[in-house]
Amino acid sequence: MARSTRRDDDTRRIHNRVNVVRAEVGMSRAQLAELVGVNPQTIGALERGDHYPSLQLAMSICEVFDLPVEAVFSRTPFQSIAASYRRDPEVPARGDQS
Amino acid sequence: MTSPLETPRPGARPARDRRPSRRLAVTGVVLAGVLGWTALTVLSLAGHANTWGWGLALVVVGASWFGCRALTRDVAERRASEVDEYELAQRQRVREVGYVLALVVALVLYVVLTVAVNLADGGRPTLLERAPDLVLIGFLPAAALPSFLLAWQTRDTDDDTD
Repeated sequence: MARSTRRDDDTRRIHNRVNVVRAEVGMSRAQLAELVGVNPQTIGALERGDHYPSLQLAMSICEVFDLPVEAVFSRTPFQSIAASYRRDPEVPARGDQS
Repeated sequence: MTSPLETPRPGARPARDRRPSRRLAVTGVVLAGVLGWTALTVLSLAGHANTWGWGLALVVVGASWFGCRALTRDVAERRASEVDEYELAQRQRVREVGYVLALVVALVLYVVLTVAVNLADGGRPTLLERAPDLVLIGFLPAAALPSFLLAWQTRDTDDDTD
């Protein structure tokens, strides 16, 4: 894995669910990258949490999916869809989004 | 990496197949560059510059440098306006290391050339005669390090096109 370009530590981490919204519309990383004017590797790094996007890139991504920024990026981890339906809240949610 | 939610493009090789071949290619190219530069340094210091072996080592270093640039899509050496924000951050990080190495190399060359001039004044011009080769072997790592470093750091990264 490429080294992270993030400057901050986990206490100021920015979580995203770009991969979820991208999968929902069946869009590849390359297609999204072309729409927002970056390389597919940049989208990959973003989804892995190796890179925090600029405001410009974050808003461009949200415009592609017609979503508000807070629906895609957050300071707190997004709950996975499976976790929201799980009956036993004690069961660890392995699929929570980064 | 492909999410389990996604369907890979038809004909696309799975990421797990691409990654080992990239790692192997990067390791080979970086190793060739290091060995080539080491051979170049030894031959230059031994006074065997401009021999076929020295020329071969130079070609190996040049080819591996070119290989690293190709494997990293030339991110480390492209202009800032030609890379996106993630690539710019990667480029900045490896260039900082290259800059520090260039400073160290310049300082070492200053000391070596000072010694060479003093030796030449004392009637022993051998080291001074090798000065152009020493400058070359100092220049090569300073110039090529960003691409080599970036290739090495991204050896496990797939192309993320899926």
